[in-house]
Amino acid sequence: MANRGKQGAQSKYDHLIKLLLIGDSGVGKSCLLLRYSEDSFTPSFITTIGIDFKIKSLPLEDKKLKLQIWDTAGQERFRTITTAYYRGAMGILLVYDVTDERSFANVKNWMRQIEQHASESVNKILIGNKCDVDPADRRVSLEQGRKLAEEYRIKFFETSAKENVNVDEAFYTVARDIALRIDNEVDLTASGKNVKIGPGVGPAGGKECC
Amino acid sequence: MLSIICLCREELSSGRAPLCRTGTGHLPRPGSQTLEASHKKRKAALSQRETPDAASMTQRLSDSGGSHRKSTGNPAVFAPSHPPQVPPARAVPNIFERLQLGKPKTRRALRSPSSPATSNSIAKEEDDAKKKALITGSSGDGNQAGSAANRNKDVWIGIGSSGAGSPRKDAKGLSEVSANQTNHRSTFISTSLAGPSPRKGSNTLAVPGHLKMRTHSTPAFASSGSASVSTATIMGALGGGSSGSEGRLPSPDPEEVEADGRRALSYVDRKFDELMEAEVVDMALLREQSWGGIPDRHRGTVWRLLLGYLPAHRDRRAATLRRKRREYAEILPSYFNVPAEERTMQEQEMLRQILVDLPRTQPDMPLFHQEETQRCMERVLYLWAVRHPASGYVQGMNDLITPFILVFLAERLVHPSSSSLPPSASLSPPATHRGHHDRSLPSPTQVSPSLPSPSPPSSRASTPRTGRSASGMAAGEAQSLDVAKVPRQVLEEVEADVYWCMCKLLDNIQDHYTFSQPGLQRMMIRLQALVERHDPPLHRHLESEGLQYVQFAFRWMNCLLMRELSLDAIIRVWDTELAEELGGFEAFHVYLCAAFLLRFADHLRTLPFQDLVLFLQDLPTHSWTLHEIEPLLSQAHVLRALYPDFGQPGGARVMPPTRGGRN
Repeated sequence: MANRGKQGAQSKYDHLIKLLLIGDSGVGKSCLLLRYSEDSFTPSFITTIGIDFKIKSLPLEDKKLKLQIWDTAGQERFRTITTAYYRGAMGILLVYDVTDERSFANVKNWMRQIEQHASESVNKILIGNKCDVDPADRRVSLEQGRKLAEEYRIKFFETSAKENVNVDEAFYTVARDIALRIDNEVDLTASGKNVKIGPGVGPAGGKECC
Repeated sequence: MLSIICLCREELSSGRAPLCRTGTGHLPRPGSQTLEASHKKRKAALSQRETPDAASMTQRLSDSGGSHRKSTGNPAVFAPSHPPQVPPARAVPNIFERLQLGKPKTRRALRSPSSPATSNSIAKEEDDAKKKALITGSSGDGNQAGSAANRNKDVWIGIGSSGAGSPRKDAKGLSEVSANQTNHRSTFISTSLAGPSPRKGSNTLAVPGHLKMRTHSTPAFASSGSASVSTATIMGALGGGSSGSEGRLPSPDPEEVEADGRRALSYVDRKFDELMEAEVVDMALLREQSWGGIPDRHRGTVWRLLLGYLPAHRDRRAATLRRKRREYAEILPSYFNVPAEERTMQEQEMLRQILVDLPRTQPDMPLFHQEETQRCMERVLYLWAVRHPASGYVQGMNDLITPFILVFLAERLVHPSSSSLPPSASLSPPATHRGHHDRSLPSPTQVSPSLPSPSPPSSRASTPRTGRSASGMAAGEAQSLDVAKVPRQVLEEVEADVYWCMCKLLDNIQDHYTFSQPGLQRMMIRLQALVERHDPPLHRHLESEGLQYVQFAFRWMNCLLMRELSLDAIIRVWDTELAEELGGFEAFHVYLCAAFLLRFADHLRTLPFQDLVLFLQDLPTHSWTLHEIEPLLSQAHVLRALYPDFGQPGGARVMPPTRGGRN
């Protein structure tokens, strides 16, 4: 991931937050990103090849965050390309599809990828997308998602890019946690204390929907 | 002018000859003073005759409202070097009309302004635009190359017909070259070879002064090429290009074309007719000819030939087609009609991935979202994947299949009476291919998929267009071909051809899709090295901003630019890439991507990292027409002529140049 995006525009924001979207192919990563960055949705989306990229500015209290969000292709064949982006990511949004049990089962594989390739302090969040679907089409319950997130001690949201449910909240939560973490790290460094910062940001406690 | 007319007369009287017997073998050698002097002399002589034409063309542009162009760019680009002698407002016959009236024996005079043949001249003119684009760096404003796609054809002919020297691989005895085609190359070969080495710190190509000729505007004709993508026709006829691509490749004025009635007699068409009628197709010549674009009605067969799917021997083609189609029908069930539980995990995963991707394929084109088309793509992709387990199905292949489907369907439905298909291979008579009269939904075939289909078949049933449909791009017209009404046999044959052609295509680039995709990595390294070599400032800027080539070029390679260009533009690009004897989709594609990137060099140099990524991942190129595509192909060719080592197949010879630009 590029590290120089801040150059030349440093005064425009306080924090540059680099986020990464991962998850199985077809779970709606690109749709989530499109909804968040441009507040739009199209049912006729195309597959992501390699990586894609969007930015979004986000005010946080008296600060301004700039989110640099990398969207990855879900297919395993692109893993070589996409895993290179884990290391630079400050936050990872792991997405599954509530209508696709398989994508939910694969969450553990994605978590393994994160462990292998991402920095230890990366903030993670689990997202069950497509929560707008008819309950009859749902294959993964809210409770299952919540439990899994608790297991990994990460926050959890069910979202709908289509209906714009919880999308802003999910991105906001992870961005805010990262900003807080960065501020803490800076404070600690400045005060000379040598306190280890935990990787996560507490147990699952995010807002849930559906 | 006189010399040209003489030449044309001579050719006409001989009853065979091309407009100009260029051939790269006849190009001027770099430094050939005699020839250069000859060019200058001819150019000087011609320039006096051309100003009124230029005026008329400029006038034509304004008369037509410039509707065929997205932008006319800087008016200065079109300004003739001498003020027109005739006031622009006065009705001045354009060059074609003038020639038709006054010089009836010239070949050009035999064409109407809108005839595809005319576009050959235009294509030549676009060559100048390419030169212009190269001279000016061809970057910045996205319409620059397009607006520069005008030039003086006479000067061009002068160059082509009097040169000497054999720059590239054209030692194959290329003696007759179509106006539209090798001209692109030959002119640029001479351009690039005659010029000094590219200057350091510049992305421009030096062009000898005698090639810096005037530019004239020829808006009304520039896109009416038969050998260009009048797949616009196909798109309209087959339901392609709904909102996405309609109007992108402007069609010639339908009335003009229809009235002309000689579309099929265009020079390029006849050239292809001659080639295809031969007992054994001269593949070298076919490649040369195809490089500049293939007429719609020949495209299907020519693609098959270029891919090696069909033999060069005319008499063997029908049997080959029959055999391969039968073979496809035989192997398909054994791979496809098996219970899900008997499939390996990998096979199940591939099938799942294909089914996830199909609804996301060419989302703007209804043709690809009809049930029959989706199932056809599913079968072809899955069959290819299970028979090529080293790579399997990789996202993006669903894109690569679409040009074949479109071209082969169009061949049967839009140009059924063309010479493209060996008559004996047309198992169904063409009349029944028109299709919309006699069929209800066909019953499932022996090769029907075993999986449930995700979406119902489209109920939109527009009448398939038949025959010549030059106006096929009219908005709202023929939004969708109802594939369900196409005779099953036709669909099966098309599907088999699509499969075998996909095999041929992917066989050459299979390591683009195997684990870790080494082919793509190799191409990206080459691209980076090429940009660094040709445009060091741009390369330094990208690097200093932290931009990695993988962040934008990966998709260019993986999907062969299909995500950046419209499908009709891609089909034209494929004419060229398929015509490349070696590695069109690898070696040449690197040059094409470099030309593509360099096209925006000036703008890119002003952008910081984030804007760079955003811009490069969403380029304003989806609306590109031939005005942009032809110069792009030519610049790619120039880059290859300048830096032949950067596209070597096999990868071993690729050596990234010095890393001096790093900071």
